[in-house]
Amino acid sequence: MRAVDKRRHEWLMGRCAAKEAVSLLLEKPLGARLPHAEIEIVPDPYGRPRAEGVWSVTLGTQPVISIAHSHGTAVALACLHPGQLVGIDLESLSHRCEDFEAIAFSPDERNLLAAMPRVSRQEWALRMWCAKEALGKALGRGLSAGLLAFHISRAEASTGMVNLELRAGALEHFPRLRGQSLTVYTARESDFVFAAVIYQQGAAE
Amino acid sequence: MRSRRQEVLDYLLQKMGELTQDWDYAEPVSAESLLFTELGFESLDAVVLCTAIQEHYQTPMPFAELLAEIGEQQRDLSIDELADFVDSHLGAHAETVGGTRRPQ
Repeated sequence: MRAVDKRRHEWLMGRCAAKEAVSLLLEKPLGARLPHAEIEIVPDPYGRPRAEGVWSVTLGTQPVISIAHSHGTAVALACLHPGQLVGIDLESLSHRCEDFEAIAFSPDERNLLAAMPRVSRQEWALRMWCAKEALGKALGRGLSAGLLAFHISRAEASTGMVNLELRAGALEHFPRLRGQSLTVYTARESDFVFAAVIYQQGAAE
Repeated sequence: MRSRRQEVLDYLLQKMGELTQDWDYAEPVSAESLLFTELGFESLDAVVLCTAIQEHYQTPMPFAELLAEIGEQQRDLSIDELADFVDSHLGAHAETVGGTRRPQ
């Protein structure tokens, strides 16, 4: 498979995962599962995907979505309320932490990582990376604000929770988030780790 | 004698070949290859490559800013462009310390 084919394949898998998430989400309010063909995924002005269809008039809502794919696997997160910001990210455990932590993390973040049990350090490096990516997606900026603009202040091995604060590069766009600790949930599933965040939009504007 | 820019480009092409050798979807790598759309890079792959470059030259370079810039502009990055970036920062670093460090 060529790289272009791989991207198309993963894009398609991501769309399928997103439509399945929306179909599951709408099953209760609609009383039936929607076929994927009736769910259209469109970008908002920041490029964040949302779902719409003839049913969105009936329900009066367009669910917000986040999609991630890595190494042939795709995941998606959907929320009914359009005022919520959602972000999800996924990475394969095949990445070694020493191959990226020097650039991906600040010295303080690397200290947090060093405090993790040695046996799970690689997993936690990826969880922390995914947490940054997930929050970046939720805020609609990706990591374009800079790798260090999403600063990890706490990572809790027992719960998988990662707390982040916005720093220069991201704070300019979200001044109301200054000093706030944003919680991202992380977990491991088989040979992948993922991170997910749901945030109420009003607080981020 | 090869110029430093050519040396950097040769190193990047060799490193890219190593990184993508077991990727069954990677295109043949050339100076014009685009990391994300042609070689199938994901954002973490780009960070892994930048970390390897920094370690090879033992010189800190503002890769975080470079990756942020291409993210902000929603554009891709060619190996040629990356070679320019590395070469310019090696030059600036050499001027600062008054000499050129040899790569590992």
